[in-house]
Amino acid sequence: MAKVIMTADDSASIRQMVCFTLKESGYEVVEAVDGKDALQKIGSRSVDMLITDLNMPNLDGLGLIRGVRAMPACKFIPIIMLTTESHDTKKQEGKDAGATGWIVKPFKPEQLLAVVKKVLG
Amino acid sequence: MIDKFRESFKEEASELLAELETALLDLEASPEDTELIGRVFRAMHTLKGSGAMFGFDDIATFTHEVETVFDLVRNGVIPVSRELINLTLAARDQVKGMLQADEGTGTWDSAVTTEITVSLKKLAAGSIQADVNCQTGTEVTNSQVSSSESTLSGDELTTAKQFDPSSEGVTYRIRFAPVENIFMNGTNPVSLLNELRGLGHCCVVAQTRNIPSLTKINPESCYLFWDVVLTTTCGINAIQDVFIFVEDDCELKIEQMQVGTGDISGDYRKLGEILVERGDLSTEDLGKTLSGMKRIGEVLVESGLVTPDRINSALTEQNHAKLLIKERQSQEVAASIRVPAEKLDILVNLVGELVTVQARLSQTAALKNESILTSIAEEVERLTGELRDNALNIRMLPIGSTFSKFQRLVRDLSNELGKEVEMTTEGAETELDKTVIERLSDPLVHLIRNSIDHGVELPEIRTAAGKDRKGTVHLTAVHSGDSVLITIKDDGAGLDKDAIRRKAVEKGLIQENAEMSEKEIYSLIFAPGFSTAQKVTSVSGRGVGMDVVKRAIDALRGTIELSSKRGNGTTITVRIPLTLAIIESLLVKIGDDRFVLPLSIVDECVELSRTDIANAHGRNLASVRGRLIPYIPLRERFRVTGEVPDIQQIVITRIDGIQVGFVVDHVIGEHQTVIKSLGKMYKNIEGISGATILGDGDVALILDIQQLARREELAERLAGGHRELLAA
Amino acid sequence: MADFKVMQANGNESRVVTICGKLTIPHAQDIKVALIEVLAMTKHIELDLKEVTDVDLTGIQLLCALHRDTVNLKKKLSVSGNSNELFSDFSAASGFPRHIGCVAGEQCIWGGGGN
Repeated sequence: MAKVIMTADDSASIRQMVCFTLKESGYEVVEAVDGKDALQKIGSRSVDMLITDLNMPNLDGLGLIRGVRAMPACKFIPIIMLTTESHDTKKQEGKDAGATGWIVKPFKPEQLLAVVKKVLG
Repeated sequence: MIDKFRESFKEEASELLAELETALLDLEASPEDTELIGRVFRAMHTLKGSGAMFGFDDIATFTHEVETVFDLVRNGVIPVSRELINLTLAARDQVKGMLQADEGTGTWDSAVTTEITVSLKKLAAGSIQADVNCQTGTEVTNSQVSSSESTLSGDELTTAKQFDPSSEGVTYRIRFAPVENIFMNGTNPVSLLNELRGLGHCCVVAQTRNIPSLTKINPESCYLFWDVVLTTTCGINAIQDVFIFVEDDCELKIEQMQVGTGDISGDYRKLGEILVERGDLSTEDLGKTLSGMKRIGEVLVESGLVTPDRINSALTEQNHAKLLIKERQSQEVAASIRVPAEKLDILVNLVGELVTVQARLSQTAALKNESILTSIAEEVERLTGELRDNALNIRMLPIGSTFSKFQRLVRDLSNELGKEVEMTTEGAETELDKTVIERLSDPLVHLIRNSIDHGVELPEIRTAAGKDRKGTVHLTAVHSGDSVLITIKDDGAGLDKDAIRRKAVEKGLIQENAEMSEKEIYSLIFAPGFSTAQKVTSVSGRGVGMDVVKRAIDALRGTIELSSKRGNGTTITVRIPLTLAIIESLLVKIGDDRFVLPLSIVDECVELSRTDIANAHGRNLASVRGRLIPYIPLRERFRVTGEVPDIQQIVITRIDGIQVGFVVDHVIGEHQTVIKSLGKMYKNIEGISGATILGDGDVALILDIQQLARREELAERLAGGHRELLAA
Repeated sequence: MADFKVMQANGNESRVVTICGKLTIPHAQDIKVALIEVLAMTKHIELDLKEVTDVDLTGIQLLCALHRDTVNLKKKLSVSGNSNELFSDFSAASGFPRHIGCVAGEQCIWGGGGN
């Protein structure tokens, strides 16, 4: 059964790229346009992994990560955050919120896949 | 594919710019609205992030500057001012200009970008000076949007994965002990172990000794840790990259270790040594234990010196080394070695010299007529032959590598031309001399281009003609004697005989009333300056090409033939000798000079008597079994003086499917010819392609048959003379 | 959740315990409780794992803990259904096959590493 990955990003082009890359590699992808949307969708279906942007309207990435980790079904799923800064502070904030890892933008499709593989096995 | 993303980015960017404009105008009305400031910031942030993703680096760099300022605004360091709004609106217009420039519908001025950036920085600096406590500002301004910044660069990730089992690599001992709550942030240590396995030869032992009893266990904690022995060529950075997300959440020890590298006669280390080196056992204890002669592992566990876990781990390490050494040994047996091409060239040159010397030996032996010497000479001849074949064989490579390059070419080209073309190949395993393959690539590219551009029709035309929408180009390579036949066959429109003829007349290549066979007309497309393309495309039709192909094939001593059926397609056959270094040839004599012709193009030899010449009434034509074959009297051509023998010989060759005879005094016989170049001075002499050294030490010139024939043909045409000359 | 279930039945001199479904972290608490219960109840546990559909490190850890406890309490644990692809793949991936059992004198339930 294909693993389900959710991508939460307010940028349609990034969502499209993530979605396309993952589908090409056989994953099922659920798209969410911001944190709120993501949290709603993740509550209604099971998701194996979350890839989220940090800067989003309505609910930002950190808020989303905390929200997701509080849900019993998602307590242990891998969560990857997309960030434009490679500053350790942002990464640490993300990790403290419960993120598994990060990808620094800009990234290439291969990098995305390598990270998905790293955390999803 | 990336283009598709670029398009959707541009769409998204236009929306963002519109949103940005509204937000800025609203912000001007209510400068305290943090929600609006957030919207501006996010729009800039998304433009920056997505812009960088899809290659809009100038937009990314520029929006980064604006985003930086708005980060300060968001943090209340800079107030929203009219100046700020003006600058940001200007920046927005500038980004729009950059996007339009990408569309080709506008331009943008980098000076304006700089101007806005400078003004924004000034604005920010002014406020920062007012607020010395703010550090984020300077920090962010210093950061740059560049891919080198990313911790996980794509190149690193992909190259790190490439493990080359043939190279030895370095062996590392890795201890990975995650913190107990590692599962809480979604990390799965097994994925990391799997990633390590991808780096090389890997043995993993899970250490279980920290698992508490059921009543004490927190089932969501991780009590396990791992000892890994990994042999990899990827380097320690690649290993550290595997653990990049967990480096703060685990105890990670990576040490390089010594596997028996051959210095101790390839032996792997004893279990005891491994344990001592790891610090799990002291040397004294080891010594004591060894005096009892049970298996050391069991003994150590029984005596309680080392826990079973540690023994397991050490045993795994030992096994890893055992396997590794075994693998290396088997590799050594089956290994192929890489040799620089120059070394092979030297070898082939030496073999060439040897063949020459051997020819001299054979000749001397024949002259002396001593049985002992003769038998030695024969033996040497046989060995030399074998050595020659082997040496030449080493240089042989399958032609397949070039074929795969063509697949890509066909794909790109048919896309560009709006045609649907499929390429099929056959005989990719056919071997050819390395140099020949290299030099063959360009002409083949040209021929395939030509087939697709001129041959295969557009899908609509094909459908209308009742053909499959999709055209095919079939590429085959097959051995034929001492040459390789490469055919390029398309199922396109075929050649238009009349169009070629018209064109040739137009270009003054032939007389309007010239009588020509189909084959001759086809061969006109190889004439310099010939092109029938209706319009000049980027692919072919610049009027260079086929003649260049012809020259390149000639230079390889190959021939090219063309057959075509109107509406059914064209087949081009290229015949290429297997090697350029040593050829089978025919040795002939004119006067006191000797010449050689490549045997591969010789059809037969016939006699030419004085009466034959008289019967031809001054035309250079010989009747062979009822067919008229034009010939070139080499004696005249090379202005050889002296007595003409009563009966001369015509060597009939087949050049690009057309028979041409060459008249010589005598045909001496077959000869192994080691080709020597003539050197710079004589490189461009017409009719001679090289030289060789004969058994008696004399030099014989190698005839460039194609060139001689072409020259003759040209002379005939210029004279406007009889077209029968080349009638096959 | 229906993803995980423990069933018990009386054998001749033992208690047969069948674990069905996912032996994974979301159920780790439940598995722990169930195993403690079983351990207290009988001297010989026959653990049947062939109905297990998924396993992760937490599942393995719990089974290891159970194994050790039975050894320490001088009880007996026999495991069946752990030689299928799921278990052999997972134990290989996580580095469990070993040369000597982790508890002195006991065979490891994840099988020897060979040679």
